[in-house]
Amino acid sequence: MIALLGAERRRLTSLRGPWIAFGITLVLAGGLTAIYVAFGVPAFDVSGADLGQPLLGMIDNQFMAVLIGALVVTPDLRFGGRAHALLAAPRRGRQLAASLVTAFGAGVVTALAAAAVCFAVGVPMMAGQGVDLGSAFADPVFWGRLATAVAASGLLTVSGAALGLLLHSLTATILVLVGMLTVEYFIVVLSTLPWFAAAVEWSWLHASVALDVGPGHADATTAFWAGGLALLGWVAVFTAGAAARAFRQDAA
Amino acid sequence: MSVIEIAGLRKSYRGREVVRGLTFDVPAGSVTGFLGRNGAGKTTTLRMLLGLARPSAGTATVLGKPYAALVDPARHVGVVLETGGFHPGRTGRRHLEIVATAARMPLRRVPEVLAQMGLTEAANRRVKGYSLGMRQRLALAAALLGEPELLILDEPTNGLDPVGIHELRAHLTAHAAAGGTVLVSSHQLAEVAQVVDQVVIIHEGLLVTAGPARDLMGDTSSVRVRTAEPGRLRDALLAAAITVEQVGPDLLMVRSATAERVGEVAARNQVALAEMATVNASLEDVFLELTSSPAGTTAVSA
Repeated sequence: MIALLGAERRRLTSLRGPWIAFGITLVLAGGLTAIYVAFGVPAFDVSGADLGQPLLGMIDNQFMAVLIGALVVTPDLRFGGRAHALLAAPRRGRQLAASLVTAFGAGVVTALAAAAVCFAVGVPMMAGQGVDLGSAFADPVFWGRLATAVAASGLLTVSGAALGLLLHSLTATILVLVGMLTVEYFIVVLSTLPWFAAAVEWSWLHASVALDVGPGHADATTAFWAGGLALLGWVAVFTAGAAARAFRQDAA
Repeated sequence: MSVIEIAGLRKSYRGREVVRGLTFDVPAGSVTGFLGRNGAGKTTTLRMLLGLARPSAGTATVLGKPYAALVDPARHVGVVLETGGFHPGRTGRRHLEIVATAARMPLRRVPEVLAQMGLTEAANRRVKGYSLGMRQRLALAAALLGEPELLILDEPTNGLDPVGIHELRAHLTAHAAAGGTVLVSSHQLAEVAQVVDQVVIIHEGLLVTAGPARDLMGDTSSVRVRTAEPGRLRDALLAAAITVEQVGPDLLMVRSATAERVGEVAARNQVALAEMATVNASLEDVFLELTSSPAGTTAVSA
């Protein structure tokens, strides 16, 4: 399994696509944090973990996390590389597990790098506006929120990889992702039916919001652990589909 | 001893049976040509052998086990698939490093096989810049990473220029000379005929023949006889129950007898011969003859 993880890591890092997605994620994280801090800090009349919230809000980029997950698996599916991987290590279950663990690692690393960028951009800007972040950094809840945001990124990346393996296509994965974002944020959220709005809390992408917001946030509509469980459930559903396809079909 | 054993192998896609009960062995130390026209079922058979496709029925084993049950299979079996499996955006070196890592082989083998295949200078270039021949050499390099005793190559000559084919033949011959076994599938017979010593021919998913290439070609050899009295010799041969055909004013082709037997009949009947020679059919001739009719109408041997 260690060897397969090493091979998957080499597979991921030896292509330009994932690096470009990684770079875009960091640029978005830094840029959006700068905008958020520039326009949002005067309104933050809070202390403790909530004071540091502008630094955490852009760590998990749902779209990019799922995209990076899909990029872990789909490029080689297109060119028959997965069949060659099976020749080297002919255990389909282990191959699947290695891909998903690699995706989780990629999501966590991306989120941590994004956090570093958010901090590098946001802390000096907030200091320049006279905000002392000492109480935020001293609050364990702040670091708990950072951990849940990183976990959300990891789980979303795994779900992207599983969906990529299920659909066998980067384009199809992106289309599903865009469709879900559209449904969740523009159609359902605007819906006046309360049960519809409640249901969306448990949907694939929205479940990660509870993790992004993290523990003890006043605006949270779903407990972070409940959102985490819902996201895990979606990961399980996509993984089951990917496993069924991997085991039932001949290798491409 | 057989290193590959295939028994009653069948595969259907959406109700259409593309491999229909194949049974054959590949002896250790041989270079076996797995021959058939395009669409005969060669690639499907190899993919079932390698655990990439699930048989509808039958078994296929490598070194006595299903491929998936082999421990560290890349150390025993080197595989070149028809689809190279190379992402064009990756360098040749990176591709080999991925294979070596997944197969738990030391990375020091990567520069070794790159040098062996003459790809050292191109190792850090992206595969999209490789010629077809370079891609085939890279695929062979990947197959050789584990220094396997068995090579399985699916259509390795596709797209190769004459130099590339010559180099491939040299590699296969060297592998066999070192005690290894090779199973090479191809529909371009002239390109593998010079190196194979065993032949398995399939047609429309059915086994047509399997056995030593020399026997196969010997079975279809003929004797060319030139004489000033073709009519007399023809009658004498027919009287001796030998199949003969007059193909020119002074030329006969004898199908079912050796040159010694033809000479014996000619001497007994006092017919003077101007020329007599055994004409061996090429593997290509045999292949075309065996696969020209619909599957199931040609004799099967094993």
